[in-house]
Amino acid sequence: MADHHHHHHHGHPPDGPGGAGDQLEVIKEQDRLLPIANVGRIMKQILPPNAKISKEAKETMQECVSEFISFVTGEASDKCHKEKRKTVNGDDVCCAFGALGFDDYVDPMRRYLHKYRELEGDRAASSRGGGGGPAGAADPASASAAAGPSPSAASAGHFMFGAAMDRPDNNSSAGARPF
Amino acid sequence: MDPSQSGTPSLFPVMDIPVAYPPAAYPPCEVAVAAAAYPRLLYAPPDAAAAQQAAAAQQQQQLLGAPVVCPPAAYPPGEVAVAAAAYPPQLYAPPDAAAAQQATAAQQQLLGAPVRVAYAPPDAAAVQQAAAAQKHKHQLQMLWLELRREIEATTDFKKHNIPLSRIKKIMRADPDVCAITAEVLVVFPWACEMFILELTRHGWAHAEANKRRMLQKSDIVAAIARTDVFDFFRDTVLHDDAKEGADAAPAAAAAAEKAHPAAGAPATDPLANYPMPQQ
Repeated sequence: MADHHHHHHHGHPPDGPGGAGDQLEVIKEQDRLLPIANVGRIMKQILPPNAKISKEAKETMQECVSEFISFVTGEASDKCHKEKRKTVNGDDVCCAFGALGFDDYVDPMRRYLHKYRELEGDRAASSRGGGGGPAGAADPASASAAAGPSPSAASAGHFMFGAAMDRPDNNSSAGARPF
Repeated sequence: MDPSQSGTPSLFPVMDIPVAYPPAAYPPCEVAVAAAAYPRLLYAPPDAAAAQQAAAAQQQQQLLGAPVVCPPAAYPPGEVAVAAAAYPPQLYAPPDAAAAQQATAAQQQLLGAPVRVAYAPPDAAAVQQAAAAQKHKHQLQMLWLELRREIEATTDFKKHNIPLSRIKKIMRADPDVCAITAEVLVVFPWACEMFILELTRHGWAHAEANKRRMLQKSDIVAAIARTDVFDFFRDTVLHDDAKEGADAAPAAAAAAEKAHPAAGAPATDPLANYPMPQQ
């Protein structure tokens, strides 16, 4: 527990005032769950117009979604371990959906992943100005993104991963939403 | 002179009878007979009553007389015996008994009908449940179809109903998870949305079954208990339900369970692969 807490704390330091135990606890609790407003909004989409949702139901759904994310991520990560790989990719996640019984999720997620890879590949090619690389994203052997482009296929894959990592707008916009 | 003499003897008996001679000179029997022979004598009250009684007695004698005399003459003993013998066989005929048994059986069959009627309520309930289940399944299929269209139509990968930063933090909470590429984060918002919609719909089916218009926590818990695909976090939800105040307990338990078979992946890998802007 202490080690986990330390790792969690080291992972992302809280933005609130330091030293406040209650505020730290609140921030930590909020980080562990998806925003209740987003969850409630999605729940209403499937319910009749005159239906109401209690706050406890929304909170329970928050818990379930976080458990769902951890569950699928853990399954995908286990698959990586077995195959002696160090990075989880989209295909691993799609396989995890099927392995855990969420069969209806596999096909839509694969289609979305395919479209994302195509568009990201085109964007990377256009930004670099060079020839189009492979459509599929390969798992980079190294975690470093400092390597420059090279004509080999492995380097092309790495290049794509690097391009994906160098998208501060998306990250900053995503990071700015909850705060 | 002859006609007047012949007329006198006919008037003589009439003049004698009506006045005094009957009660004094004639006995009661003769008087009764005489009165019955002459209807005109009814003008005297005592005579009239006696005459009526005599007439009634004669009629009765005539009516009673017939049966007394006819049977021994018209019906011999042999015919009577035959007639009497004709009745017992009919009264004890087996076909009548069989018919009675058949009637009893028919009544029993009729009595059996209400037993079938008694099963109607559960059948009606089962039919209603089947209809509700079909409606529920149909709505889920429409949901998936709509989501597919929405996903196919999406061109902006940065627009999500769920912030990516929160998904990252939830993934980081597990130290055993390998490094994650950016494309994984793009897939999860849609998966989470599908998950929320599916679990909500199952919960709403439970609320509808209980005639409620507000979705409650118990509905979601019931949906998890009834759906196999949600089996993986029954312990989490039930544990959280048992300890309402301990929100961190499920996460700690999950982390502890996952930590046991952990091989201990490098802690720096997840960080290095998370493009988090430093502020």
